[in-house]
Amino acid sequence: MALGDTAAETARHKERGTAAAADGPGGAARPGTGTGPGPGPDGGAQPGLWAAVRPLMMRLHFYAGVLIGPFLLVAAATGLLYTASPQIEQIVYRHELHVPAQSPSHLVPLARQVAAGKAAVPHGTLQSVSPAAGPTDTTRVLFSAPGVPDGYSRTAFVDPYTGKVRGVLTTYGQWLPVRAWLDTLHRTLHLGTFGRNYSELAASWLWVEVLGGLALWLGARRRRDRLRQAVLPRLRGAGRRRALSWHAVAGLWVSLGLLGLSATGLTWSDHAGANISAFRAQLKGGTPSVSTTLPAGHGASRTGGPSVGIDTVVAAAHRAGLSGVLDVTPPSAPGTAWTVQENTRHWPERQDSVAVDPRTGKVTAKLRFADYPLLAKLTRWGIDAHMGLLFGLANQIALALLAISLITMIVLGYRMWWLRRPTRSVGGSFGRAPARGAWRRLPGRVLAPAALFIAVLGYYLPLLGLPLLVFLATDLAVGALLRRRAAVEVAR
Amino acid sequence: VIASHGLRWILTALFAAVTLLSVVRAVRPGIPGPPAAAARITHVLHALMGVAMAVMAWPRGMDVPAVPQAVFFALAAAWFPASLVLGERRTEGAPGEQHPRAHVVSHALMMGAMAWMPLAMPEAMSGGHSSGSGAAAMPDMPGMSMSGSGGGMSMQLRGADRTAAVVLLVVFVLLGLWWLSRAFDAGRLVPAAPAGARGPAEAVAVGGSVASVAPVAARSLDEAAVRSPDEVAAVRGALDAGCHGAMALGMAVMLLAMV
Repeated sequence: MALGDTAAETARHKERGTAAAADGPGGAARPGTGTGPGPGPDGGAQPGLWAAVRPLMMRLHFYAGVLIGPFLLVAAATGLLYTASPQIEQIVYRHELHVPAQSPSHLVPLARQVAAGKAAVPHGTLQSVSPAAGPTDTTRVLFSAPGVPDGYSRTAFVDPYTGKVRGVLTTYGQWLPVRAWLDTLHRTLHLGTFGRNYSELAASWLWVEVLGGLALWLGARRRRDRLRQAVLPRLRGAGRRRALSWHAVAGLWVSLGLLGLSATGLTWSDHAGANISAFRAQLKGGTPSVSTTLPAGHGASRTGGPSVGIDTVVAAAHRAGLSGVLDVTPPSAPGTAWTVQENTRHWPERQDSVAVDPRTGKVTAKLRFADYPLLAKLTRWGIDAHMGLLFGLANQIALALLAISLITMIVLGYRMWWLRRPTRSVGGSFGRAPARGAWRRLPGRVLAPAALFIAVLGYYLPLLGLPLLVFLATDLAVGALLRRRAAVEVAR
Repeated sequence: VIASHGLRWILTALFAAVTLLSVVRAVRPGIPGPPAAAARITHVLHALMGVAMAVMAWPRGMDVPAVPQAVFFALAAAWFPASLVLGERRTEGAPGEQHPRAHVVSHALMMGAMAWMPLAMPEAMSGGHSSGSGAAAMPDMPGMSMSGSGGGMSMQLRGADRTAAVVLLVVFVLLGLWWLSRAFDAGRLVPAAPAGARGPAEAVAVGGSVASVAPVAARSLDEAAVRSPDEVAAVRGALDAGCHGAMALGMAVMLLAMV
C-alpha cells in the first residue's frame, strides 16, 4: 500500500536530480555532506540533531499511522461504545439490578439469599457473593457452572428484602451481558485469544504515534504566533495544512490521556502484559492479596467444625471498616479463610480486604489498599481509569472524548494522506510517502544506541517489535527492487 | 542457558545468521593474496563462535563438554594478537579501515569470554532456580489474567564470577554499540541507487573513510545492477561490523542471563 508509493518517490527524486546532492537518489542525505549532524566538508555551521532525526521520525509516524491506523480506529470505536455500557446496563437490566427501597429491618439474612441463588443455579458452585450495597440494589450471587465459558459466571440477582431471585444472567466478573459483549468486542473482537493481538497491536503502537506526533508538531518550524499555532487549530483555510493543524492540535491536547490508555492497555495485553507483570513482580510492585492461611493455634478451624456463616463473615468485615460494594469469597479449601474485599471502583481508596476465620468469625488478616506498593496502586488506578470506573461519569465522559479525538485524528491523518496524492497522474495513486533512506542522515553513534533501545523494547512489546521487523524487511526488499528498477532505466 | 523460550529462539536465529555470514566470508574472504588465509581463519573462528553461542542458549548445550570448548576458544583468543605479531594487520575489513588493532582486541575479548562462559555456566546453573510459567492473575479484573512466556531453568552467578560477568556485560554492550555504530556508518556509504542513476560524480566521506564512485554514462543492465567494487566493500564492511555488533550484544544477553 504505502510502500507501493515508490513510483512517486522515484519521480520526485528524479525531479530533484543532481542538484540536491545531499538528498541523493535514495531521498536521503549523504553522510557528511552538510545535511547530517556531523561535520560538513566545508566546515560550516551544521543544523542540529533534530533536523536529521525529523525525516526519520516523520517516516515512522507516517507508516505506523497508515498501517496501524485501522487497528487504532477499531479500538477507538469499540472503546467509545464501551464508555456508554454502564448506562446501557442500568437500562437493560434494571429489573435484575434494582428493587424498591425498604427499611433495613426487612432485609433477609444473606445466607438465605445465597441459598435462593443456589436453588436458581442448580449445578453451580458458589464463587462469590456481592451483597446489596444500596437500598435499591440486589444481591449478586456468582456461580461457576457447567457450560459457562472460562472467566464467566452464572449470576443470580436476589431481592434482599424478599429473598426471591429476580433473574439469572451469564456475567463476566461484574459485567452484565451487554457490557461483557462490548468489553470483549473492544479487547478481542470476539475472536478469542487470537483477537487479543489486535488490541495489543493498537496499544503497542499508540504511544509511538503519540510521542512521535508530539515531537514532530512541537519541533515544527513556525515563523510567527508559535504558541498559538501549536496549541490552537487553524480555523480558516482548507486542505492539508488545516487538516494537519486539527490532527496535531487534537493530538497535543489528548496526548496524556492516549499515553495512559496505551500504557494501561499494555498491562493486560497477552504478550507485553506478561512481561510487564514479571517486571512489576521484580520491582515488588505486584498486586498483593490478603492471606487466607489461618494462623497457628486455630486447630478447630483447620480440622473442621461448624461454620459461622456468611452473615457473620460480612458483619466481621464491616466491623473491620470495610464498606460499599463488597466481594465475599468462600474458603477455597478446607482450613482456609473467607475473604471479603471492597470493590468500589469509582473511588480510588476503597479496595481494602480482610480474611475471616470460618469457624470463629474473627478477622485473621487485613490488607489495606493504602499499604499496596505504589506500582500496584498506580496499576489499579490506571486500569480503573481505562475501564471508565474511576470517578464514575466524569471518567466515562473523558474516555468518550479521548475516543472521539482519536477517531478524528486517524480520519484526518488518512485525509492528509489522500490530499498528498498526485492529482495529475493518470489512474489511481496513493499519497506521497516520506522519502526512503532518512536514517542515512544520522550518524552511527546515534543509530546504534537507538537500534539497541528499539530491539530491547521490541522484545518486551512483541507486537511493536515484530511488525517493525516485518516493515524493515519489506522496506529493504522494496529498496532492492527500486535499485533494480533504476538499474534497468540506466541500462536503457 | 536462556530460560525464556522466545529469547532463546531469537538468539539462536541471530547466532545462526552470524554463523552463516561468517561461513560465506570464510569461503569468499574478498581479500586477494596471503592475507586471505588469515581472514579465512578469522571468519571460521567467528562461525564456530556463533555455533557455540547458539548451542549454549539451549539446555542441551550444557551436555557439551566445557573444557574442550574453553581450550579451543582460549587458543582462538590467542590467535588474534598472534596474527598481529605475524604481521597480518589487515585480516579483514573494508578498504579504508583504520582500526585493525582495536578489532583484534575486540575479537580476542569475545573469544576469551567464550572460553570463560562454558566453565562458569555450571556454577551459574547451581545458583539459579527453576522458574514456573510465570502466570499471574489480576484479581477482580475480568480478562486480565496473564500468562508468562518464560519457563525453564535460570542461572545466577555469585562472588567474583558475578563481578567478572557484570564487567564483561558492560564491556560487550559498549563493544556491541561500537560495532553497530561502525556498521551503520559503513551502511550509509552504500549508495541507495546504481551509479548511473546518481549524479555525474559523487564522493562520500565519513570519519576519514572515502569511497569514490566513478560516473557511469551507459552500461549494460548487468553492469548497472551489479555494485561497484567500492560499493561491495562498503556492503561487506557494514555486514561484518553488524555481525560483530550482533555477536557482542548476543553475548551480553547471555551474560545478563548469568548474573
